[in-house]
Amino acid sequence: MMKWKRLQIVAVLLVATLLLAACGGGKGDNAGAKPSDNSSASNSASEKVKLRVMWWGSQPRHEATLKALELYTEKNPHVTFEPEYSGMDGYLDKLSTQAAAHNEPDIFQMDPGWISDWTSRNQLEELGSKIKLDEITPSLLPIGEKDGKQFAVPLGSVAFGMIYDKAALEKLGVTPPQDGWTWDDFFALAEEVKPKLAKDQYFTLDYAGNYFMFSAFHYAKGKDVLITDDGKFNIDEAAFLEWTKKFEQLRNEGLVPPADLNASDKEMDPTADLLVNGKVLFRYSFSNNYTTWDSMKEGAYDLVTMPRAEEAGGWLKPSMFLSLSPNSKHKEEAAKFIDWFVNDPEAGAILGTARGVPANAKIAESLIPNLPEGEKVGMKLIDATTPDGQTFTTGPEGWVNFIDKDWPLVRDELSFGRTTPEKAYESLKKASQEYEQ
Amino acid sequence: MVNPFKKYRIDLLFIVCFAGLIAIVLASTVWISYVISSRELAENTSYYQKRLLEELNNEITGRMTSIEQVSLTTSRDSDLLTLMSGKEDAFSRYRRSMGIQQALAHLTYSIPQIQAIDLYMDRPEWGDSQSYIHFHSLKEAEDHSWYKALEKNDFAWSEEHSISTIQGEASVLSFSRKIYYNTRYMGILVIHVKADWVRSMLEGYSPDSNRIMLDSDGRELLSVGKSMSEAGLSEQVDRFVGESGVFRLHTQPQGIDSLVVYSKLADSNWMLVEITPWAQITSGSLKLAVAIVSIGLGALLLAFLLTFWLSRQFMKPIAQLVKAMKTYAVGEQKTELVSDYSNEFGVLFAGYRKLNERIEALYASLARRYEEQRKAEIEALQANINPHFLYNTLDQLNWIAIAEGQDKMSRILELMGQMFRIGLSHGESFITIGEELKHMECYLEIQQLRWEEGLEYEIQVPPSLLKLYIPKMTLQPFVENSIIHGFNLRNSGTIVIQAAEAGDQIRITIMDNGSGLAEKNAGTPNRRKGGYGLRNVKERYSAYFGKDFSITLDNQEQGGAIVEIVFPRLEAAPGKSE
Repeated sequence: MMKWKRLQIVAVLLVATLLLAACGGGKGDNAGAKPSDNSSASNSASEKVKLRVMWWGSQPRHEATLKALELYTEKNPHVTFEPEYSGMDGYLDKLSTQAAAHNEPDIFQMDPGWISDWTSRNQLEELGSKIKLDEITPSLLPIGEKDGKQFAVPLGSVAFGMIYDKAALEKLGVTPPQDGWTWDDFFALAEEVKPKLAKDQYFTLDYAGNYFMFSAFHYAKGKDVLITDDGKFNIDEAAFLEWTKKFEQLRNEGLVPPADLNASDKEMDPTADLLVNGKVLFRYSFSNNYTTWDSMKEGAYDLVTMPRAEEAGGWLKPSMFLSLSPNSKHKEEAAKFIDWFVNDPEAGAILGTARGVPANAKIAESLIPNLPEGEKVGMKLIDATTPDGQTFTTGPEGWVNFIDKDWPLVRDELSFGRTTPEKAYESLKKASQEYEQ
Repeated sequence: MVNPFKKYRIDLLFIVCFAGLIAIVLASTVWISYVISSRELAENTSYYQKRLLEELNNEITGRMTSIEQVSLTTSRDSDLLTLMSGKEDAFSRYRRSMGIQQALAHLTYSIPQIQAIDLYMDRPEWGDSQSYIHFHSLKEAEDHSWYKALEKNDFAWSEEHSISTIQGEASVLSFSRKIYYNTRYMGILVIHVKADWVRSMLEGYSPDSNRIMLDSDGRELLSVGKSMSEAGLSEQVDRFVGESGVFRLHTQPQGIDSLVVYSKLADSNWMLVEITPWAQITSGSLKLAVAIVSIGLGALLLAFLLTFWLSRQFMKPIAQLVKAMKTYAVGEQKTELVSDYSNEFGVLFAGYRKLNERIEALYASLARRYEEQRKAEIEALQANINPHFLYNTLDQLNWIAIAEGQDKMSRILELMGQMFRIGLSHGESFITIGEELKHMECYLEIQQLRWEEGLEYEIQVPPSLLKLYIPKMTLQPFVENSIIHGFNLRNSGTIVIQAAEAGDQIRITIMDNGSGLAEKNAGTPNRRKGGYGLRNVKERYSAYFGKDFSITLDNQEQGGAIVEIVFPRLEAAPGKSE
């Protein structure tokens, strides 16, 4: 039995030897050909590249952006994308966490307020030398600069104003506000609608502790920025108390939602946005977001300038920026894409005003006359804000947590009635000391 | 049953035998090598696959365990427990839920494998549908596919399923854990892990593989390639015996053979199954078999040519011999066989040549015997009309006649004696024409004596012919014929005998003026033509000359018969040896 097995094996070996001799030539050829294939592929321009792109926004912006990515892949088949998109909530947390692990996307959208912090931590790649910037509106560039180098490319500009439920106001028999209205008009309007409001319907959100809305009020009162550019606490106590007390009154009168309902509001979420739900009549908005609300309830809303007082309340600002990760393995391709995204007329046509009026002046110029109705509303707000709007500033470095952590605590304490306006001012002032140099 | 070696052509037999042998060797080689090598390959494959699956299992277990640990840590978090206990006032509850939402979101940010985290609890508030963290009511949990696995356990992994996210549907595996505070059941924490991540672990570095991940209860969680049911494994779960093993799966409807290797680590919750199509494992063996077959076919072709050439070489002398045998005829030009064969064919050729020689010799002796036999027959015929004893009796009669004074009788007997003497001629077959004429004259004189007058004869023969030879006793029967039949009932008659040379032939004519061959038309020709004497003459002539003579009987215009005898001119009597 063993002998037979051995014989079999010997027979197979013999045959195998013959075969090896016969096949040897062919295999050798293949082996020789492979490495050269690889080397030529790595040298060629059409090496497959997958770029991770991350942004925040609402549904229309996601759709427009995905469409633009698709077009780019169509034109550059070797480049594909792994998009990551979400709402604004948690976006910075996620991006920061990924950046801490050096695992951030190749290309990501940045808020103007974050850029200085990120550049100071060397978390942005220099872009000025890689991208054509001569068509970009010059006033939008400085925020993305540091030490004369461009680290973030502006995508557009927006105006800060308010959106209101035009249809609901008409139903209540109230005259809608006009551009250039004042904070007095705002609070007077609240009193005017008060008797007409249905149950579970409120005038506006509880903005008592809202950083942006209080900023607008602070500006309107001629008190300038909340934190000076050299990093000093600059909130005017009187203005703060006036603002918070006004809202305390609204809260007591049932003109702003109770705390738990107020907390459930999610801006531009079709199910959780209190404006969309018909629960509130006014909320703040950037000019470019009008189309999103309009897409949820067509023709129901309109934009109006931020109320003013001694000075204007609203301002123009660069909406957002695109940056390149210094950890990207495909910087060249990523920069090429950013350049296309910002400067290519076709890309501009697809993206429209999803990120505000395009930063590329030429594209903006060609786009504006042919804007669809919905986007014209946003343009109207920009035009109304432009003449005497406040100068936007990103604030000093290192104060992000003051805005993102300390203000929300005060906001919630005020909303839930856990503190008084005076105490709130004290706690803000106290918190600011951590950030002051 | 006919022995094929007796029936079919040799070259055909050669080719069939060689081809058959090679085909049998080839077939068995192919079969054996295929069977052995595919068995070896299957063994090797399953061995390495088992090792690989164990390693993958280790890795997956490690990674999955870390997710389980995250879940455990989170579920013990006091903030979470406080939130879920629902004992606080609204503000603290809101702040805490924000904090927890952020903390959980950070988990998803820092562990990218986590797609989302759901928390099922009483009074879920302040969720964010666009976030990665969702709060749900505990009642909703029952609607989810992972809930069933959780009914009997405090924690469980789900099968692959899809959840909706802001970026569309996402395929996930979910780890759910019941959260208890002291003994109170408060909710469920569900961590959704990206299925693609698990799948890429399962796939390892072999993207074409078909692997399935089962939990310890044999529940299929996820698969790369075909799922359990697609692979026809659903009804075979009871074949997964022990920690690891191999079996061959044959799915009936599609008829697909595959090798199934499975591995479960003792300290792991996962069983990994790899399915490899049998055809893929044995493709090497198949290649081997194909190569052997092509080599075999080459050998077959060579063998064909070789046997063709061989049989041609062996058949050539045989064909030559067959041809020689076919064209053979005695005494004719013989086909010469080549003479340079010294092997069996040489012996065969020599045997054939010897056989031919013997045939020739036999034939010659046969011819001689035949000649002798013919001669004996002629002699016997002559003996019929040449009875020797009559001669002696006649002599005695003559003496009696003389003694009685019967001169006429004596003369007749004397003439008869002369006739017998010539007729005997010492047994010679041929005598001179002169002697023959003498013999005839004797007969005529006897007839003249009988007639006394009226019978005349004339012999017109040039003396040069008298020395030539003629078969003896050839003329007398014709003369006798003329007298007995031609001159019957007449008292006169004349017979003229002429002889002449015509080239190398002698013509003798015997004419009479009798009644002619009247009977010829009366239907009794045998009487004259076929009479014993005439027939005897013709038979003898035929025996001596073959066809080289003629004897014709006819009527003359002026009346009477004419006999013409033509035969070769013979200077000497033909030798006996001839």
